[in-house]
Amino acid sequence: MKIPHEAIPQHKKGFMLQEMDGEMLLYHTAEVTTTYLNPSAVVIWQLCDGQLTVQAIIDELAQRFPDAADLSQDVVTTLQDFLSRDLVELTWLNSDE
Amino acid sequence: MSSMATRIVTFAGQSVEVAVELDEGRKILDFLFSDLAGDTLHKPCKRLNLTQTPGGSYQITASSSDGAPVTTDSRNEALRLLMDQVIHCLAQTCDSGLLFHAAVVARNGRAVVMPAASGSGKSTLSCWLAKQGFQYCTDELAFLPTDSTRVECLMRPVIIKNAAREMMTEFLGLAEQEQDFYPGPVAMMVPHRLIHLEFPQSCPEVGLLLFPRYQQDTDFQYTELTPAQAGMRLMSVLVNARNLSDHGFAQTARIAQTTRACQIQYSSFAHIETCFSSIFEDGLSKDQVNPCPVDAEGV
Repeated sequence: MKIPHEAIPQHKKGFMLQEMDGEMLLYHTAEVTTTYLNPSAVVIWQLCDGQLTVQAIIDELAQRFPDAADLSQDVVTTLQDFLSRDLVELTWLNSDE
Repeated sequence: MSSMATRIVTFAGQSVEVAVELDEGRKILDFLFSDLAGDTLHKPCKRLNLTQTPGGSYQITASSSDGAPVTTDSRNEALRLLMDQVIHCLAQTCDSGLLFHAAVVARNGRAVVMPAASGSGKSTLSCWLAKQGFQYCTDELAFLPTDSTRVECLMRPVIIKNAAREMMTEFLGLAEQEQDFYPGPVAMMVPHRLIHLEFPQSCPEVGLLLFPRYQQDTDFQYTELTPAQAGMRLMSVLVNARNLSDHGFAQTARIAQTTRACQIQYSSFAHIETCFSSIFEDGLSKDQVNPCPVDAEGV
């Protein structure tokens, strides 16, 4: 699935979180599913706050990790994974218009 | 001539009343449930009846109307299914802690908890470890009461699937006692007191989480797990999550964070022997960091 950079990823509701040594477990009580996030995925997950666009997330990570190579593809791949696992949904700045 | 024998079976704060209307009903109840003594504090949540039908088959019915009767033509299979039904009832109602699908062995008051789904080799591995000097605690169900680090174990006969029967009988050195194994079409039940004579006098403290995976013709793999990886695996074998306010998520995470955890994939016990002392002896120490060399893969 292609993810436009102007989309805004947002956590889906219903998750309980446990952060452990930089990794994270997400448990969805209604779906009865547990998801493991490695440290890289946790950083991206935490930025999916319903405020930042995909491009803003990429820019934020580029600032935090200036030595990293182009992060764009990693972010998109991780978000695609989140979407396929139903962890996030995409919203749009002008979605009501 | 059959007569009715009944017993209250208690585990994990729940009780089930079991009635067997077959020849030697009392002997059957002793064999299956002698280590799960009933108490009078807990009203049985259900009554299960094992009877023989006029047609000669064996039938397990429940006092409440939920679920169809379980029927089989094999007497020994009926005993195994009765044990399954008791476990199902206990798991359905247990709400005072975490109930994991897991085998457990113990040494010096410390438990090796081996959480795994059916078919992962829990029973055979726990028997093998008992032969290495560990105390056998359970091959099926481990209970951690809320806010406790001590594990209560469902001590029952060991269920050995028929595919592993020959190997296990020889390995355990129990060929002469095989007539006592209640062989059925799916599995046999080995009296656990034949496996190891010593049993924990009190609930052992959780010392190591070992996630085993038996896979034929595979290389040995040993992997240290992070707390989150262990927590993920524990949640997948938590059988009473629906009875708990947060599905047991917070307490499971606490156990994962405070207990060292590893995963092994193996196709023979010889594989495990290569790392035995470091996994099971040093590994039970909380301070141990790297119990198995990284190059153990492919041993």
